[in-house]
Amino acid sequence: MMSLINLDRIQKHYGKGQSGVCALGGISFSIETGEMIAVVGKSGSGKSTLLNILGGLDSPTDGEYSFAGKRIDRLKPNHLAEFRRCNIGFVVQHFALIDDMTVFDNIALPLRYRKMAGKLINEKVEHLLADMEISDKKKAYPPELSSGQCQRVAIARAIINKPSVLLADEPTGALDEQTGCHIMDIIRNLNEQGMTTIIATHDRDIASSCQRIIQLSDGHIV
Amino acid sequence: MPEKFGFGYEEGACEPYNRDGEQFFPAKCIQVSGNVFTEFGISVEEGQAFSSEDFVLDNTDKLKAVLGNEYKEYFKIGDRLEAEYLFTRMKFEVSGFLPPNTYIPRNGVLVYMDRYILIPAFSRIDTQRYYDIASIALLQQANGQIVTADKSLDVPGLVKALSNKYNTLYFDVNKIGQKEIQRTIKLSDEIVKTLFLIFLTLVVFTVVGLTVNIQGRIRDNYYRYGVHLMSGAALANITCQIIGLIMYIIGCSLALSLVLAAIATGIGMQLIVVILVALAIFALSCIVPLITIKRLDISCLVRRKE
Repeated sequence: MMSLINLDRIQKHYGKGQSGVCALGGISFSIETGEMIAVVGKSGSGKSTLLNILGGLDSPTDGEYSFAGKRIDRLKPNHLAEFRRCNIGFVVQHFALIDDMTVFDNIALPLRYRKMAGKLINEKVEHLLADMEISDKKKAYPPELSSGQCQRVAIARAIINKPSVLLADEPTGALDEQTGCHIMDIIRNLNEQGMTTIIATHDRDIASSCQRIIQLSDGHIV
Repeated sequence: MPEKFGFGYEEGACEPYNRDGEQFFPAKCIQVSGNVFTEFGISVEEGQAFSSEDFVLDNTDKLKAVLGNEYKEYFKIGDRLEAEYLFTRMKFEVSGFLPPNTYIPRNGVLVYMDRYILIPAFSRIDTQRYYDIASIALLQQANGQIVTADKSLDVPGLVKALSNKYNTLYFDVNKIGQKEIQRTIKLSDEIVKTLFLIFLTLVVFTVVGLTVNIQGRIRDNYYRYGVHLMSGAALANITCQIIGLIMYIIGCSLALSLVLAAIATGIGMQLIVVILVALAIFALSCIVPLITIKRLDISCLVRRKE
């Protein structure tokens, strides 16, 4: 059976010559549909670079990246954007919300790039707001929310397009323990519903709760 | 014909003259263009003013004349006058009379028209048949300065030939030498160069100012662009946002410029120049921001704030 994600000798170099940095030094692995994987490693080990490549925000310098059998490393920027739009949801440590947009508009942003009708956007966002238990914050702005509420908004935005993969980069890094647990419950719940989940984390408890752990060190899988 | 209609009668200098054995009486006469009636609010008391066909000279036997009010005692509508006009025998039909006490401003002075004959200032002349009349009409209309480096337009020669032929022609020709023409052209070139320099400086200041401003906005919005890209935007969407912003700034400035230009110089083709300059500034202002967007390192846009 074909893997959902297949990385083959992926390399990523920043800069050229002696001042250049090798962020990923030829890593290979596969991920099956519905898996929940933790990517662990020290700061600078290449976790974020790996997630950026998996999410189509960055392209590898060398190697092959296939998603559902389709070569992603060869895609042009516009097609890469379409790939992100249809398949990937991002959650990051500091939420990446736009402060001068309401909670509703932040969540609706991916739908607007899909040119969805206003009525449908309204329905989908309302539904997710209810799921995340933040319906009352619909018209609030991110600075008015708690960290936990911000991360729920970020998760709602990440999954509103029903992506096949959720990439979470330190999703609980900016949260207290209790809120972090709650956010992880939401992510686990999404995974149980079939969403492939890849989490970059320093947290051993979160890593150990995943089905598989990929440990990175200096751009290589240990 | 009473003397009061004679040219120079009021100054006591109205003398008849002989030509080819015939005696002529110099009458007060004025050429008027088509718009003189509307421009100066003059109406015709009786009969008709000139129509557009009356300003075409193709037959000297069928011309129209409008007479001053004091002529009413001596002529009626449809009467014919025979006169030597522009050194040529012509026949005029009286088409109308001006109301009494009509004045027409000429060279800053109001001229009392009641004793005048109004003749159409011909705008089109059959030059094949009436070459001399056409030449004289041209010289009459060129009542300012003729500045030309083109030797083919020999104005003094033309005047001299006509003067010799008719033995009289009141037309002063001040010929400007080649040096003066060159100096005038050089001066014009200098003015054009200076204006171009000012124009270039303003355009450069505008483009650089706008570019720096937009670059600043791009830097300030790195994080926002990162969020948009994570949400499925393409770089083309970000580019559209930037171009939209530049268009908005240029559009506001252009609207204001057009209004000011229209107030200062009126609505006309010159406004197209304003639009073209705005388009050029828009195109130039887009270059650096577009390069910046193209070179954006997407992966660095949303950095973890550890």
